[in-house]
Amino acid sequence: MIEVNSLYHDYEGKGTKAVDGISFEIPDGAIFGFLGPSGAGKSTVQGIMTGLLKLQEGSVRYDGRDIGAMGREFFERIGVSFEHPNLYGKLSGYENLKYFAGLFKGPTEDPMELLKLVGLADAAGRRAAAYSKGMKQRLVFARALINRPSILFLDEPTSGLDPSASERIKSLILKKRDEGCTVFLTTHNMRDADRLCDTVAFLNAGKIVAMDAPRELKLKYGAQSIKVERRTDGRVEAETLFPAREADRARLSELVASGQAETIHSQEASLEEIFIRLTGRGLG
Amino acid sequence: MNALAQMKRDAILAWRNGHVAVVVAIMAVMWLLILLLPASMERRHGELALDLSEGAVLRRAAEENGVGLAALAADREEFERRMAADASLIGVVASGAAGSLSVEISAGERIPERNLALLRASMDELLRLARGSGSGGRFSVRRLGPEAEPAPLNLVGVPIFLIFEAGILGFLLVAVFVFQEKQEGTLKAYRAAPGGPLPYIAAKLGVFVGLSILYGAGVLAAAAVKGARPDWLAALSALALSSAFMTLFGLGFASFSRNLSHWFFPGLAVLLLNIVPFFSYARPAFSPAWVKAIPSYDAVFLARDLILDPAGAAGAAGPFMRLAVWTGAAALFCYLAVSRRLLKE
Repeated sequence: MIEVNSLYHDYEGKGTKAVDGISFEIPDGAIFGFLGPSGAGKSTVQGIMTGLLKLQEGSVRYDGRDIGAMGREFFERIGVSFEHPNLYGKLSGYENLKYFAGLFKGPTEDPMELLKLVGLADAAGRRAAAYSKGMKQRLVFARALINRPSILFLDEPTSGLDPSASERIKSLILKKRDEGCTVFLTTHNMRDADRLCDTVAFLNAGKIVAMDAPRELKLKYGAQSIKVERRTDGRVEAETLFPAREADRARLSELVASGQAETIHSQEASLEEIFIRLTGRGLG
Repeated sequence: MNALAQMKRDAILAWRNGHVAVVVAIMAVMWLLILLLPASMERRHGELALDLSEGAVLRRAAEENGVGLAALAADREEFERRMAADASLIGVVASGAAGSLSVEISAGERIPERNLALLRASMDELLRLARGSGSGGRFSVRRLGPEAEPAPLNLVGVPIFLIFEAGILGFLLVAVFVFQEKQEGTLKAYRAAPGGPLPYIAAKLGVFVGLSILYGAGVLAAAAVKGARPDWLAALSALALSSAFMTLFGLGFASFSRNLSHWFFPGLAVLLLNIVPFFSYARPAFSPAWVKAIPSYDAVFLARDLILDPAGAAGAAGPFMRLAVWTGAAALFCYLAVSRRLLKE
């Protein structure tokens, strides 16, 4: 269990808080997602939780133990994937993993097997500096798995990836969750959050504005809509109607009765729409 | 295991960054200097004497006492003609009566002070003999240590090549490593792993001291080819200690700079200060207390004794101890800088 309580962080010490009173819990074996635009404080929270940023106010506990009380054994348990790939450019993909594995006392994965998992086996011998952005991102993800972590911190893990590679990474994240790994995921991709996360927290200007399972958030904050397409004078026109409104219910009945409706689709609100509704801004 | 894995990684990076090639290239240049420079570049100066004294006192005194005068001019005309023709000659003109003989020494070009001093001493001795006052006073000489042979020109620079090059390489290249890691962001990844400051420091220390020993062995081998008989183990140990000091100090120093540009001028100042003992090596009279306090002072003079005069290196324990203390202090500084600054950013 990871417990974060009343987390505050002020980078410059001038009263401008990048993280302002954040609290949440992550049960073991769950995927917890932080969803928010750039600058919301997602990476700051992750930095504090991984010990990369000094804990200024609040507490972070792992299975009841304060992060400050944990020694280097803490880093034996965690894997961190960074938003901006940070690799030794002059080492090959294989070498980056091999020498990173050498830092751990416990058992580690075979670097070549990890490279196969993320689709980089053919580029194993190539220097990391020659990798594309997507390849570097995949290598950084693979590095986060090298020590068989029980807790994964993933900062924008699918950033810069094509759909195929993105799908591969998401499948691996779900697989790790199924193996009992706890995952803390930060993203501004609402589709990834919707698919992967057991719990999502919306973060805006350093504060959590909503937190629940994606489905519950949609039920609570989203309005169901129905999209009706009809052909008029040879052109296809679409109308979005909200059944919650009486006028829209009447309009829907009218369209169905007229026989003009060619297609009718029900739509639930996306996490992005809910975020916009709650914060007044988008995820971009 | 941690430090070993990092050392292997840093060794590969040193190779691929071209650092090893730089060291080998500098070693090759040192080889050329040692092998191609002559043992001595002193010009030989001849002497030409003109005895205008009453009764040729100078000539008689030289002949009676077996002191040779390389050449003697018959008259002033011949003397001036030959002096004009050969600027390398040292002219000696004796004149006056036996009881008040005077000797004038002249030269057509700049003559090393040592040669002139020897000639003046010889003339003083001859004058005493000519005046019949017997040989000049003999002074007792007590040697503080075994007499050292002057080092040949092509070997006298070897301690300089060793200590200052290895020191510069350790200080500069470790900074390059650190800034490369900062730029690539790999330090951040390292901080999220159970590495810690000690294995990080040990890895870089191992690589750079290893490189300096490789370099030093190569330079000593060239010196040995040219007749030096260094105490290999002691000389390489001194080099390793000096390199360790510069690497540890350099790593700690680089921890306080954001990037190479930020590091450049302060780093250059440190390197220049490190080189100041070179002037003491070239002119031993310049050895003020503050220069002696610079660690490279002990290192370069220790290296000189161990390479050029091993028999005279009996007093090596003191400099070794001082270097060890400096290296210990640098290690502490490095550990604090790396753990509290570099790995906390």
